[in-house]
Amino acid sequence: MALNNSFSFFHFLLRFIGLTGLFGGLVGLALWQGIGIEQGRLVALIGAGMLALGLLGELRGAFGMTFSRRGAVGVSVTLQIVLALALLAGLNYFSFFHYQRIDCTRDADFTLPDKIKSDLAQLREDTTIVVFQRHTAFGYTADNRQDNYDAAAERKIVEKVKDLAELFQDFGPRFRVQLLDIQDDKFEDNLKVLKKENPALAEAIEKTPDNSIFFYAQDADTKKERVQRLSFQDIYQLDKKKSQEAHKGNGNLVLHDQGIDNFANKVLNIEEKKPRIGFGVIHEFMGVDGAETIGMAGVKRALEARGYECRDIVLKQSMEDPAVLTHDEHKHERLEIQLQIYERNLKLIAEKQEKYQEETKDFDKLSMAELNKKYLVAQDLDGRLHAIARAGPRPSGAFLGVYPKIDQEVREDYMEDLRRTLEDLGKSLKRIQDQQQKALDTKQSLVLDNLDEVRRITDLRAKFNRVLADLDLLVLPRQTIHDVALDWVWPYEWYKLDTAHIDAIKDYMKAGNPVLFCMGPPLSGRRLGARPVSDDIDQLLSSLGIEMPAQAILFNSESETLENFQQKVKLARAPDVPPLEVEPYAARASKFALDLHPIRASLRLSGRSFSKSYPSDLKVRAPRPIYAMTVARESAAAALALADSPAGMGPLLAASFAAAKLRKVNESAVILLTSAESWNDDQPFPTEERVPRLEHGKDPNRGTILEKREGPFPIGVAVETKLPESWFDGKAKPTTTRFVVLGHGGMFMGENLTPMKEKLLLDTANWLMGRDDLLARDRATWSFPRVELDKRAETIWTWGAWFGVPLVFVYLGTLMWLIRRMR
Amino acid sequence: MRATMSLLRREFSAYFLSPIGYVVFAVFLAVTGHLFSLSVGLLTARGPKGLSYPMQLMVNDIAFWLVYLFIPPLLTMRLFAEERSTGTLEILLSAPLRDGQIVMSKFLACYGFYVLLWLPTLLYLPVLLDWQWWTWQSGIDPWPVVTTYFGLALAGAMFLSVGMLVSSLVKTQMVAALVTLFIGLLFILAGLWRPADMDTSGLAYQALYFFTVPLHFERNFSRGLIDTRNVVLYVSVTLFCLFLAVRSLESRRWR
Repeated sequence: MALNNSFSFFHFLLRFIGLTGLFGGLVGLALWQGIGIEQGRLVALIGAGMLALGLLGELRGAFGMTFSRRGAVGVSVTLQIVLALALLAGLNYFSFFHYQRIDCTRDADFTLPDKIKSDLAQLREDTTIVVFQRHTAFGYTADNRQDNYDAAAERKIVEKVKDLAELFQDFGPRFRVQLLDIQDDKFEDNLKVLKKENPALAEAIEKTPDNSIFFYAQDADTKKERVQRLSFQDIYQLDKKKSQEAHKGNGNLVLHDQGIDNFANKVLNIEEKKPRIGFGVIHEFMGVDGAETIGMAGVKRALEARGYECRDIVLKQSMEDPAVLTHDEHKHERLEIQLQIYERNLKLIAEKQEKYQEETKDFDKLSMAELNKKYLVAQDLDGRLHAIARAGPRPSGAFLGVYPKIDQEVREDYMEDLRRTLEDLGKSLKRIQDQQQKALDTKQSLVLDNLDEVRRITDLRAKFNRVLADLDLLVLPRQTIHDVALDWVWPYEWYKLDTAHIDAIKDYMKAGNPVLFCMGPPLSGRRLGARPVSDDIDQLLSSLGIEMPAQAILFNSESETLENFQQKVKLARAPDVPPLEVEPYAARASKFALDLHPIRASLRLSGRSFSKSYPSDLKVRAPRPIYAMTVARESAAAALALADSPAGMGPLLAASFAAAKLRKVNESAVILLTSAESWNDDQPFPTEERVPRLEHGKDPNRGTILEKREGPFPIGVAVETKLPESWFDGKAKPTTTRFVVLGHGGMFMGENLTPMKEKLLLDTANWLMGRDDLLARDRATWSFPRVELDKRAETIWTWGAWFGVPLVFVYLGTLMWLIRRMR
Repeated sequence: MRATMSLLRREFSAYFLSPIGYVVFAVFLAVTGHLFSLSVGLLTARGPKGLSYPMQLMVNDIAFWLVYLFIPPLLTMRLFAEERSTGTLEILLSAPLRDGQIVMSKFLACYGFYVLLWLPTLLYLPVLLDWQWWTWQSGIDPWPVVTTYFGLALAGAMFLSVGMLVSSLVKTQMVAALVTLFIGLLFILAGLWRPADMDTSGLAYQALYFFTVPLHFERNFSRGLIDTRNVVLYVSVTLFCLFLAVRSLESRRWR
C-alpha cells in the first residue's frame, strides 16, 4: 500500500513536471519567437526537457495498455485517430498552398484577364503596395476638401486595391499591402520607419499631393529602390454629378471603373524609368525652375509629385542669342556677366575711395594757400561740393558755381561732404561685395557637369539634338498677352527661334517623339498697333495642318473693362472670364455626334469629379484660336451640300466648309474650347480711337476661319499624324507622331496650378507619351446596388423582419409550453 | 434504416419540444432581422452609402458572430451529454443501431434544425435581391447570396460536428456547451479582433485567415467567392469530428 502510494506520488510528480514543461515550453517559445526575447529560448529548452521527462514516466502505462487485451483495441483506435488527424492536417496543409478562389459573381468582379495572369506568373520579386490616404478630394489638389462622396469613393478604392493585391497574390510573388493614413496617430512613426528603410518610397509619399498608391520593390543585389505611383483616380474616377443625380436624385456613389490595366502595368513595369519632360524656354526665369510668378513652378510640383522628371532647356542667351542651355548653365552664364559687372563696380568704387581719401588728407593737412593753389571747389546742382584739381582736366557735368577762394568754412563743409561720401561708398562697397559673394555661392551650387563640352560644341542643332535625345516630351511655351487692357504683352519676337532649333525640333518629331506647343497670340502690344508676327514654329505647325489665326479671343465679360479704358476708368479688379469648355458643342447644337478626343473625354470625366460646374477653374485670358485642318475625303459636291446648310451644323464646321470646300476642321482633334460668350479680334487692345467689340458688319474674311464671329473657338488640338514627306527628303519613310497645340502660352504659368489645369497638363503629357491608359475613360460604371421601396414598404419589411418573425417563434414556443403543461 | 429514421425523427422533434429551440429561433431571427433592417436602410440609402453585396452586412457584423457562436453549443450540448447524464445512452447503445448510425442520426437532426433556423431568412431575399416579380429576375446579383448560404451551410456543419464531438466526450451539458463555445471562439476570435495593422500577405495573417470563419465570409462567401481552402477546412473538420464522435461512442464498449 505504502509502495503504491509512493509510486502514485512519483507518477503524479512526473506528470506535474511534464505538464509544467509543456506550458513553460510554450511560453518560452512565444517569448523567443514572438517577442524576440533571447532568454525565451532557454525557457523553451528547459520546458522541452521537462516534457520529455514527463513522457518517459508515461511509457510504463503505455506499454501496459498496448500489451493488454483492452489496450490492443485502444492502440488500434488511437492509431486510427492519429491517421485521421494526419489526414486532416495533410489535407488542410495541401489546400493552404494549393487553392482556388472561384468567382461566382455575375460580372466576374474577381477574375483577372488571362494576359495579366500569365504576366504575373513571370514576376519573381516581392512588391510592397502602399495605399496612402491623404484624404483629399477627387480634384487633383490638396486644397480641394473632401466631401462625403470623396470619402466614400476613397473607401471603395482602398477596398479595391486590397482585392487586387489579393488577386495578384494568387498568381505571382508576394504582395505586401500597407495602409498609410495621414490622419492616423501612428502615421508619423510609420513614415519615420519608411524613411529609414525605404527612403525613396518615403520621399515619394511626402511629395504626393493626393491619395495615391505606391508600388515599391528593391533589387536584391543592387539594393536599388524602384517606386511607381498611381493616383486613386486611376483606379476609379468619381462622377460626382451622376452620383448626386442617381437613385432619382437621392444619390449614390457612381464611379467609372478605369480597369485593372493601370494597376497591373505598375506592378509589371516597376522598373520603368521616370518619363522626362523638357521645357524649351527663352529665359531661365520662365522655366519650371524659374521665378514663382512668371515661371512654371506649379508644373514642376505637379509633375514631380506624379513621378515625372522635368527640366528647362533655355534656348536663348540674354534673351537674344540662340543657345541650348540647361537652367543651371544659363544661370551660370548670367552670373558670370553679373560678376563682371560687380567687379567693374567694385573697381570704380575703389578708385573713388582712393581719390576722396587723398582729398581728405590734403584738405586736412595742407595750408589754406597750398589748398587754394591745388584745388578749386565747385557746387553741383544737388548742392554737393566737389574739389577740382587745378592741374587736372576739367570735370564734366553741370555746376551751380565755383567758389572764388577756399576759406575755412568751405574747407570744413567739403570735409564734411567727403566724410559722408566715403561713408556712402563704404556702404555701396559692402553691398556689392555681399551681392558678389552671393552670386559666387550660387555659382558654386550649380550643377554644371557638361559646361566645357557644351561650350565646345558650336553646332547648335547637334547640341539641341543631344539634349532632346534624353527627353520623352518637349514643351514649348510662348506666353504673350497677359492683359489686353493694361497692354501687358511679352512680344512674340522674343520667342523667335534659330533655324538650328527648328531643325532639331523637326528631327525630334521625325524620330516619333511628341511635342506640346503652347502658343499665345502673335500680336505685339497696343503701342505697336497689334502688329501680327509669325516665325518658323508657326510655319512648322502650318505644314502639319495647324492653322492659328493671328487673333486673340476676348470674352463678353471683358467688354466693360475695354469700354472703361476709352473713358479712362480703371477697374480695381480684372473681370472674371468664363471657363473653357470640353463638352462637344457641335453635337450639342446639331445632329452631328462626335467622337471625343481621349484627352477631351478624360477632362470631361474628371470635371465630373467636382460637384460644381465642372471645369470652372480652367480659365485663360486672350487665348489664340487653333484649328487642326484635314483634307476632306468627301467629294466637293458633298462638302458644298453641307456648307449650304449651316443651320444644322456647328458654327465651326459651317465656317470651315464654307471657306475651303475641300478642307475642313478636324473636330475630333479639338480638346479645348472657349465659351460661346466670346469673340475673336486681331486688334484686341483698346485704344483711344477704338474699343474691341464684335461688329456684325461686312467681313472680307466671311466664311473663313479668320471671320470675326461669336464663340466658341477651339483653342487646343491634339493630333496624331504622319509627318509630311517633305521633311524626310525622300530618304526615309515618314513617321507618325503626336503633338498638341494649345492656344495660350501661359496656361501652366505660376506658382500653383488649379486642379483642372493640372489635369489638362497630366492628360496631355500622358497622351503625348502614349500612356493612354492613364487617361480617365468612360467605361463601366460602378455604384452601390439600390432597391426601390416606398416608405410604407420599407417600414413593413424592417419591423416585420426585426420583430414580426421572431415574435412568431415566441408565440409558437409559448404555445408548445402550454401544450406540454396541459399534458 | 427505419431505426435510424426513427432516431433522427426523435432527435429532430426534441428541439421543438423544449423551449430552447424556440429561444434560439427567436434570438437568432431577432438579430438577423435587425441586421436585415440595417441592410434595407443601406440599400435604400440617400447619398453615397450602400452595400456592395446584399448579405455583406448581415454576416460581417460582430453581433451576428456573437449570436452565431452560441448556436452550436445550444444545439449540440444535449445530444450525448444529456443521454449520458440521464442514463439513456446505455439503452441507445444497446439498440440495433451501429455507432455510426447513431452519430449520423443525431448530427442530421441537429443539422436539420440549423438549416430550419436559416429558412425564415429566405423571406428577406426579395428585398435583398431587388426581386422583380413581373420579370422573375433579380436587380442585384444573386450569386453572392447563394455563396453566402453555401458558406453558412458548410460552416454550420463544422461547428455542429465539433459540438457533437464534445458532447460525446463529456458528462454534463454545461461542460459540453462551455467547451464547444471555447472551441468555436478559436474559429471566430480573429474575426472579432480584426488585426488591422497586420501584413495581410504574411504567413501569420494567412494562417490566421485560414482558421477564422468570419474572415472567410468577409473576404469570400458574402462577396460571391468560394475559396477551396475554406471548403476543405469545413468539410474535413466535419468529417474528422464525426469520425471521432463515432470512436468516442465505440470506446464505451471496450473501456
